Amino acid sequence: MLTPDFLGTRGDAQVADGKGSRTEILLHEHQREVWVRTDRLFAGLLVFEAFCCLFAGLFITPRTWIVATGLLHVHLYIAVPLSFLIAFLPVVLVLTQPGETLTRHVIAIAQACMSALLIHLTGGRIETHFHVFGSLAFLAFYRDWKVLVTASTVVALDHFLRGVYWPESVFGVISAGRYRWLEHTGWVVFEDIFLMQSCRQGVAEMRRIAERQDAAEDATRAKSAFLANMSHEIRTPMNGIMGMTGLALETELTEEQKGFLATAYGSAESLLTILDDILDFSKVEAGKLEIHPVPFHLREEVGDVLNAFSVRSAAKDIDLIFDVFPDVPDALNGDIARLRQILVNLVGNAIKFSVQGQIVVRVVVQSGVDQPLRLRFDVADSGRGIKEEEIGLIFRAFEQGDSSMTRRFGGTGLGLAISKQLIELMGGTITVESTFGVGSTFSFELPFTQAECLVEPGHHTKNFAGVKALLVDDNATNLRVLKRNLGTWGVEVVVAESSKEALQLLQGGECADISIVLTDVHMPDMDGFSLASEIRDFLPNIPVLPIASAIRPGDYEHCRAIGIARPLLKPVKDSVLRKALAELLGRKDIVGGTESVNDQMKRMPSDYYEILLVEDHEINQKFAERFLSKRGHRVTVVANGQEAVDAFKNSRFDVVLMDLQMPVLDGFAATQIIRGLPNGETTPIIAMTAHTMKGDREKCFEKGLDGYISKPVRPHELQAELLRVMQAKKD
Amino acid sequence: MFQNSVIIRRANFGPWAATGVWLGVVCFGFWLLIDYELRAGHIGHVPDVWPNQTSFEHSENRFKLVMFIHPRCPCTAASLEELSKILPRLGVDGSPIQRDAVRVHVVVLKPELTDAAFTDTLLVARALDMPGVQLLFDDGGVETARFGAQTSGHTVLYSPDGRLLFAGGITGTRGHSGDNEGAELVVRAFFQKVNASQEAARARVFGCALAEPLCGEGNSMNIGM
Repeated sequence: MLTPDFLGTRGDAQVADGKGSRTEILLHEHQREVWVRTDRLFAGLLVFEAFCCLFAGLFITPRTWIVATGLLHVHLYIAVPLSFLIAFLPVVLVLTQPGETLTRHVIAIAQACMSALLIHLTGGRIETHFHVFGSLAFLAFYRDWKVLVTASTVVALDHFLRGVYWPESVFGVISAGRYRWLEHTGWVVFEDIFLMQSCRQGVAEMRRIAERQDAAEDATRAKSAFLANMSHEIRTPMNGIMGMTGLALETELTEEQKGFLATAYGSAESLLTILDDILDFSKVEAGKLEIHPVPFHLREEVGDVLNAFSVRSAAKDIDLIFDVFPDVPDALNGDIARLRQILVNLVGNAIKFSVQGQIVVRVVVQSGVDQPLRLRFDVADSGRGIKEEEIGLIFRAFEQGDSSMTRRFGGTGLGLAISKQLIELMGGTITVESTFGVGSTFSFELPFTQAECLVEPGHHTKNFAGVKALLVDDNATNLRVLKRNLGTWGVEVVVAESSKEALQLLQGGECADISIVLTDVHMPDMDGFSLASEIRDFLPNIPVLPIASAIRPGDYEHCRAIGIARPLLKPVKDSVLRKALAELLGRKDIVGGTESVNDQMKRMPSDYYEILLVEDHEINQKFAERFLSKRGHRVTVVANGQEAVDAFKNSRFDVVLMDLQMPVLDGFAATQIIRGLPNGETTPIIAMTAHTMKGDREKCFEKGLDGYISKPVRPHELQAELLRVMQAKKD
Repeated sequence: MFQNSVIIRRANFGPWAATGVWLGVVCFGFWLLIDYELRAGHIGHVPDVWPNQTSFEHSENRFKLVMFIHPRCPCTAASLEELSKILPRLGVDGSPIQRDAVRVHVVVLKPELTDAAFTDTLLVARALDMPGVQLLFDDGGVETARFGAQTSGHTVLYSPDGRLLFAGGITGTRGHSGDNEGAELVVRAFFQKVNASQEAARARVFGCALAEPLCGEGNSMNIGM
């Protein structure tokens, strides 16, 4: 059963077919906003008018109806509650049904009644008739001409009835004339004509805005679809590049070959970062960024980020220094992917805008002892700095401090805007301090929790007590950071700021009991390799550990020829340095320090599974099959959903890795069919897809899949998701 | 893509029913207000000729305009207001040296068993202050009854030779001053030398009944002094 529709309410809610329907919905939404806003205005106005009636009854009526006496007549006891009664229902409807058609028509009736009462209470004063015209003008705020018809009808009816039977109460005189009500109504209609035209124009303008909004939303949807497609098309071949490079890295290679492949892998990661930047910005625009906290090792992860910049920083002769204060916990929960993204942006910018000097990435605890953990990350460079008037611009999208910089330094100008959004989304803040010509420091604070599921690496443990090291570096900051870190492990450190000074110390006998020499490779006057050669001449048994900003072709051979250890890459991660020291000092009891999450997972007891791999892309098939086989799983590879269904009918699998976009039968359809097969309900199915837009993950879970991996598949992500899903099945 | 859709509202007659009730009550309120204001009082038998046995001071060759009021009727304030507007038009300005063409009386009803406080009201004070008006207290309502006055504000106009020219009220509605038919008839009768064969003009009278209960009796807005 439907409600009466003689006010035309249903037309507002009905949505026509086709493209115009969205416009109609938007128009209706706009209109509803206007109606609700105007409803509230009138609720307040009517209550105010009720009090005006009270005032008129008390002070105006006695001086109009009973002029000089100024006495209050008893009939006003009816008039005053009547005004509040008139205001009552509109106010109730505004509170309970704002924006409804009935509400505004009741308001229109109430306004007209209030006019009638006010005119009566003021003895038909002509001035009070302006209330009628004012009310109609206010009612035009609704941009609904039908409301004006309702109000005008009540006004006309009131003027007719009182004009004919009691003209004095509406016109103030007894000799008003039989048709004077018609004259008044005529003026009301006169005003209505213009107000109605205004309403129609208002609605037409709102419709134009709705059409434009609809078109803009269409464009946004098209952009999102384009981004999703682009993401998919780029990620699929990237999956092959990264997968194969990853597999190659797991084979027997020379250090040099490993370095080349690692660089290729890093470049592919960088390309993905650009892709992610563009997708992220799209999400920022739509307010759909999401945070996924996971456990991670801070020093390891941030060290990896900085190592990836070593070639670029070395090319500019920039020292990249990683300075984590000892009290900063290492095993943390947070969105490491986003943290990496922020650091990549900030460090990348720092290198981009620095000619030479140093970049220090510092991590300190910002929170108090009993407060939730907050860490502050500083990225301080010695670059060109930012002019004061440009600081406000740098966090805006597509803007760099100086437009000419875009041409000189490249970049989309999205990085800082995205970083700021990410930091704020994670509950942090970012600030920048800069002196033009001196350098900039970007600082951001983020909340973290300590990860109990990971093992703290024990970076405070004094495993190297009794070891005395000579540390040689021309960079004072590097010296300070390394000296402090080594000191926390129990190493006694002697520092030298140049090769000459180091040689003097060693030759002068002051370092007779020295255990090891750690030297920077790139130093003025005499480089690290030359220093090592000199040391070899008179201290052939002292191990020398070179530390280089970048590993160049031939470096490893050079080291071998001199008889020293292969160089470590700056900034040196704690785990790498501990491992190198342990090896050089013959301390087999000490392991490298921190294991990556991947390493920890590798060690975890794992069953070997029968896996059905459903993937139509040949290179991806090869990568996933090789990766899983190497870990002992038995893999059956099929190329589409139909083949997967057939294979599932004929064999028993522990888990299915399902690509979603495939010919013949796609992943969702195949999943649905498999769920109906014997064992299909209990077999975990993991989506493996290049669809990484917002909502894709949720859509997979809604469609009955148990896990989700985005392409290109990172080995550790695949391993982790596999373990998670199988563990969930066991539980 | 958006689904084609039609939003169909479920029946909800509550607001419509409430609106109907509200409209009815508002209309009833307006009707109550207007009905009260337009409801005229009763007029008894008014003598066509000035009664000889009346206690009023005899005044030959002068018109006699008499208004009967209840000292506590709030509607009558408007009647006195109208009277004060009529008097200047009839040439009455209260000047002691001028001999007015009209002798004006306001008769204040003082029922039996009431004390002096009964007539000690703002309304009576107002009548007392009106220039050219002689105030009379009608103990027991003898004169009031004699002139057929049953509603406060009842006014009669007699010609100098004692013929009734007008009987009724001089307000348009209850308690409302302003233009009205009765006041116009009084003025017209005064100036038009109505001949003996012509009937006296009459108008509806708006006010409280001169017999109890009174409309303003007992409420806080009582006009008693």
